[in-house]
Amino acid sequence: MSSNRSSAGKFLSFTLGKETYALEIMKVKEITANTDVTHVPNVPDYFRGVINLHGSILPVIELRRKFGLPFAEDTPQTCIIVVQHDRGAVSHVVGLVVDSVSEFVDLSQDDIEPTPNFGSGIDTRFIRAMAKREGLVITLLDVDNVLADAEIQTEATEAA
Amino acid sequence: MTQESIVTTLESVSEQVLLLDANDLPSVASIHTELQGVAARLGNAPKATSLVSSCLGILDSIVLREDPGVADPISVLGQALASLLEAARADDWELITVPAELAGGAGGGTATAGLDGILEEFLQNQVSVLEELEALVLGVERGEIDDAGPALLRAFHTLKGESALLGLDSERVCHRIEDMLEQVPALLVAQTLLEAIDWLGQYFRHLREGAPAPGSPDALYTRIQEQIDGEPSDLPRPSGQQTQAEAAPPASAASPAASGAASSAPISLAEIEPQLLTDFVQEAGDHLEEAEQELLRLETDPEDSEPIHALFRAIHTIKGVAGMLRLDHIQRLAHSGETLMDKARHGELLLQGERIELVFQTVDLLKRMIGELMSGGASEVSAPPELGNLLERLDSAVNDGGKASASAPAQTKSAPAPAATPNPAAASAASVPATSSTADAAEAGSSAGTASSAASAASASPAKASADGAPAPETNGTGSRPESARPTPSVTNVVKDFIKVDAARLDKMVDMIGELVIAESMVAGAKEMQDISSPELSRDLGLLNKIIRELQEIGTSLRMIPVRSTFQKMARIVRDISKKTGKHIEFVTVGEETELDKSVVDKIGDPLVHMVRNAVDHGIEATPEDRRNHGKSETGRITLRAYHREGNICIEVADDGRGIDPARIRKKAIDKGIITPEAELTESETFMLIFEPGFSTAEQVTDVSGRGVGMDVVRRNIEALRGKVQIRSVLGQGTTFVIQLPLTLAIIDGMIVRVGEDRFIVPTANVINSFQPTEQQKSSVFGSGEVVVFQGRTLPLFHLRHLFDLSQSAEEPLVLVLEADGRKIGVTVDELLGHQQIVIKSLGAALGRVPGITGGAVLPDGKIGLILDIAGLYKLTESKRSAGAPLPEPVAA
Repeated sequence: MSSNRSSAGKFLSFTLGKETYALEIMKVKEITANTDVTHVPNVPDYFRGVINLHGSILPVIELRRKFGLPFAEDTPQTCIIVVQHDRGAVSHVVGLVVDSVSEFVDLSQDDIEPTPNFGSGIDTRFIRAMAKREGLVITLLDVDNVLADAEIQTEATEAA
Repeated sequence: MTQESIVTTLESVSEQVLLLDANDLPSVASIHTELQGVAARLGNAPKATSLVSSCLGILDSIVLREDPGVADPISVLGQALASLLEAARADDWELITVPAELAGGAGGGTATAGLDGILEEFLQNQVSVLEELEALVLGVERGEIDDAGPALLRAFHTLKGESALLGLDSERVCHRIEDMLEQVPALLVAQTLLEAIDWLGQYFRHLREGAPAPGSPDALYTRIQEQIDGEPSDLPRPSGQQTQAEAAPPASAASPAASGAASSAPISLAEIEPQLLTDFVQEAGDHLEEAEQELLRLETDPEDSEPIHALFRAIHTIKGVAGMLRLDHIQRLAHSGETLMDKARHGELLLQGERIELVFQTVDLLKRMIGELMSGGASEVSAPPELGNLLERLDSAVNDGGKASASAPAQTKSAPAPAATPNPAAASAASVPATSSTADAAEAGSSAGTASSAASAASASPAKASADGAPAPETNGTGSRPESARPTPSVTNVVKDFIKVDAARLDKMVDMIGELVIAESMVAGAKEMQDISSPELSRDLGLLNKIIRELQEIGTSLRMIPVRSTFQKMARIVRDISKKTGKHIEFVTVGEETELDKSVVDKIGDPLVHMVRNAVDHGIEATPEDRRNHGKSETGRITLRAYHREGNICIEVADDGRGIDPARIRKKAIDKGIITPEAELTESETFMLIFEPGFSTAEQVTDVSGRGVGMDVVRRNIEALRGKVQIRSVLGQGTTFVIQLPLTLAIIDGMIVRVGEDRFIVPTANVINSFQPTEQQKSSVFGSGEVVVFQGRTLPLFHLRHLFDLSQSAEEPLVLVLEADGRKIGVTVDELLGHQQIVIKSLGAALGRVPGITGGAVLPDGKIGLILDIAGLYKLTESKRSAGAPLPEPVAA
């Protein structure tokens, strides 16, 4: 994503290790505590499993694993951000396990920079833009791409 | 108060909303309070005020646990607040963009520009709301309802609130009416109320379909003001004509559209109102099904006038609606068919032989054309090639049949509706006058006769009376049993009221009931509850439990529909095949009113077709002589029977034909390599061999059945419905296939098992047995492929922890013997935790299909348990095997 097309707006920032990320607020349905997760076998390992969210079953993705970050034990701050993403006509609801939710940030156009070129080492499809705020670098995630990628891999597993 | 303070408050509120849990009422309340503060400080900023009050409305409904009218209230709130905040920071309220859910796309152009979500739903609901209101007002006027004031007031108040939420002009109108109703009794202002309802109806149609906008409501306001001031003007309206004229428009969303269409180019109504088309297709389908059944009756007794009348009515209704929707080809064909039947009805010709064949063809072609209408989504179908030919033949049949005058649709008007059969056709014919202003409608209406009282209830599209549920003539037998084919004249004439409901909504409700059942058992089973020794509380809990059980029953029954229509299709198939094969067959159906979950009924059709075909083609002896030689009557009999047994539904396909010869089956199975010559099978196991892929006993392959596919598909389809199929057969006397199906697909009986720390649910239907194997019973092949001996047979043994890569090492002392697809395997588990009714849920679109897992369920402790897919487990064992681990193959049962 080279352009920072209308990236300004309200974001929910969260941490994975020492890194700070942010999601558009419009994608966030709710934030829920890290409850009992039921492990689901034979799916990609970044799926931590499923939880019971108000009587529905919600698949939960561990963002650390999805992004290849080192494993960390859950802490009391660990929580699940429930995001909704539309794929075609179907609306998918997925939970994302993050180390902690930090705050709501308003990012103006001035705070935002296009994604730098990381070379081949980093999958920039997941990044919408970068932002700098109060000396903190925030990676704005492209949730749709992250989830679409996760699901394509599930489908590939299925087909195999 | 300054702009700054508003910004600060909004900022804090936005953040709270994001973290908001709808169950956290104190937080919701505190947000509500803060927003109220904002509203008070806004001053003169209409756009902001309206948005804030929308937000307050949503919050209210969250607190009150009402339906907030938007799919995702909290995120809508978030959007609205974000927009408010932005505008507040810029100190320019005009910057506000109202979230689509709150304004139905009003953010951009007019409200009609993008009808989405909430507005559309609102408008759709209003058709029936206004209709109810109107009925209420008319009731008041006729003196049938005494104290409608509060009800009317409430209704208009709700409408006002909703209109305000959506920013619609109807708010002001409702507001004034409310004022009026508070001061003047409803009886005195009925006329004004009706005018207001008409105005609202027109206004909503304008928003929904782009119908002409109603005039300015000012005149209405004046009238209302007059009423409030006590000036006389409203006299009870005695004129029936007036009532009808006024009742018509709001009763149906289509009529102004129709008049609009009439005044401009000839546009098909279907283009304007796709809902009408959908309804037509659905109803026509029902009528045609009915027509077909009547035809079958007629065929056995051409003199019987009852079926002719019913047939005529069905085709006539289709003609009328097709005409209204400008479906010209369909109308023409229906018209020609109707003309032929009209003659038959008046005794001018007999429907038999060639002629009845012609009517069959007409019904078939109508079916096809109407089917295309749906799949094509077009409002008109192209004429199929055979249409012209069929029309010609119909016309010549009419002319041959008698010298009677040309087709006389005019006659139909005066045709008395036969009173003996309360007919679905009547109910839906009654909906025609309300949806059309053409002469056709009146004509159809007259045939509706007794059902006219149901007309208004039947007409609204969202609340359309469904024809299929109306009491139909009871026909236990079709085919050559005229005595049982007679309709029972005593069937009551009551036309039931039906509401068509979005199936997804119904599913959601059934789902929620399932949750309720589980939540209740969680509460009742809680440790803390056991310590409470209050008799009142335990009595109340008992009551709660009872109510919930009843609710669960009702919930399950909502999706249940009778198997009748599926059985009727079979009657047609038997007829066609017996013609083709030249066999005389009497087809009897029993228990057509037995109800099954709709999704099951939809899916059972295909397997039943296979089995019925099989019964005709293979079951019944090839020639009447064969049958006579065996001392049977020449006419074969096939019985389709549905009944309840042990909480399941059974459907039987029975024939009194040759029966299955186990020896022949065995020989064939050995020839085909399905079993080894040494295999020892019981009789019923032998019969089951015909379900093996590639097995077919037909001496010759016919185009009816016997291509060697079929019976294995039948079994797969039935097992996909979590059903079972069994065969009983006595050589020389006949064969009976018994399909056993669960009542519903949403709930299963499950066995909860533990493997290490994980819990899984095994559908009880798949469980054959569970036992603790001795060391002698267990063995292994090549050092790793394990087997277990069960009832003298060696089964492959699998460990869930291998298949599912579960980390915990476990004892797994128990073996479950599971069966699906006719194969048995053993699976080891640690413990059986219990039996339970399980509400099946999908694991979510993001996960898609997980190998070996059909879905999940919320267990009594609130955690999720995964439901095993036994057939999927086989595949999993195969893929694991190909991945390296040598595992034994599942054996045929």
